[in-house]
Amino acid sequence: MSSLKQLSRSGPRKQTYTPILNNPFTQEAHLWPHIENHRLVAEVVKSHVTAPLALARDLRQQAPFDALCGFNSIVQHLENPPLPTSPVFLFVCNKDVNSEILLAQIPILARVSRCQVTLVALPRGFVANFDACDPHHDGFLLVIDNDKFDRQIAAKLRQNVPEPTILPWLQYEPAKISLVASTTPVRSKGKPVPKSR
Amino acid sequence: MSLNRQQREKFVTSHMNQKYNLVHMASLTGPPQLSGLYLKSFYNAAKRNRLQLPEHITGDGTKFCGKCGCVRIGGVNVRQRLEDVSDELSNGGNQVLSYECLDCGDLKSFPIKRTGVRENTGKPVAGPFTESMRSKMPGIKEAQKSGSENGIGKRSSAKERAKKRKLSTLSNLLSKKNGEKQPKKSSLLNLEDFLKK
Repeated sequence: MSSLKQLSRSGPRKQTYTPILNNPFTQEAHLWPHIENHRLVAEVVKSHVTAPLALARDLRQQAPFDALCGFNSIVQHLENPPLPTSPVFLFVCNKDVNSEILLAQIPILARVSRCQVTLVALPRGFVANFDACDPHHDGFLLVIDNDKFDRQIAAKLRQNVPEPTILPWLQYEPAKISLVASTTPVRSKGKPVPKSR
Repeated sequence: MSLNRQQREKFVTSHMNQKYNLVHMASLTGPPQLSGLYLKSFYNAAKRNRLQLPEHITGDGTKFCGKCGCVRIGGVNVRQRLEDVSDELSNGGNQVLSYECLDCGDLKSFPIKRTGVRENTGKPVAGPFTESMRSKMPGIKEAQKSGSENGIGKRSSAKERAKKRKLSTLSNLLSKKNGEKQPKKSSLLNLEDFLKK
């Protein structure tokens, strides 16, 4: 018979997932880059990226630099970047987007993509600035860093955004070994295997 | 040889880590058929060790393909598209994120609500543009108001809760009620008291 003390000890324990998620191989806890000076970055993005795009949209003029809005167009651009590939800035309102599954593949796609992607996670509430640029933005904005985009702004953004952590499991290349056809003996459960003497 | 509790926990952590890493490695290096085996082995190990895994790992088709079991890597083995659908199909939301596994061709769709501000955030909007953005977004004010009314927005510490419990005893409530009934007596001398005598 167990005492009350023993029963309380053997109660359900809270499981922590840190060992699995903070695993140095998968590094799931550090997928998004941590921006220390997020206020400065937000102000730069607001004044030099979203405000010119919003102004161009209001005046019905062409955008001053190449930009893409919306999940589908951005994902398509990252999956198959047009040649010649130029580096891009991907601005994501990851704290304003409601669903986590929409954001789940974005940091991985940014690392896997053939073009150089600078992932910029914006602070909470920044999505309101995207509304003026394009109503169908889904919380994502991609700016292509070509001649049209201000180089000083690009340099400032790169300076303040840390480089993404290396995910070792994405560094592997597919092995050349394919499946080998092999056979195993079929043993029925009813018949025991005779012991060898 | 039996292990003590600490040794067992250490063993379980390393064991689970290794299984989880193998699942990730198999999706890139080996043939896709292997990743399903490794994933099953990982789930079995979690079951054997009585671990409750986070929802995004166990969730159907979010991180791993539900059919072949490979880790979803955007741009490598999964094609993701966001589609607008009617409300009935999207289960309350109005968009659907569809994942198409490029290894096995399995299609999986997730209902997604349109991008907006998270409800009951409880945190102020970061950045110098806070007030201007708040005025643009009535959703934040309403959510915060409802959160504070319901007590969701506030986070009380254990110490505060214990203090509250202590104060809400029957004797305390009675004494508080009696105190409210009696008029407050000031510690200073009153001229009227002397005149009555």
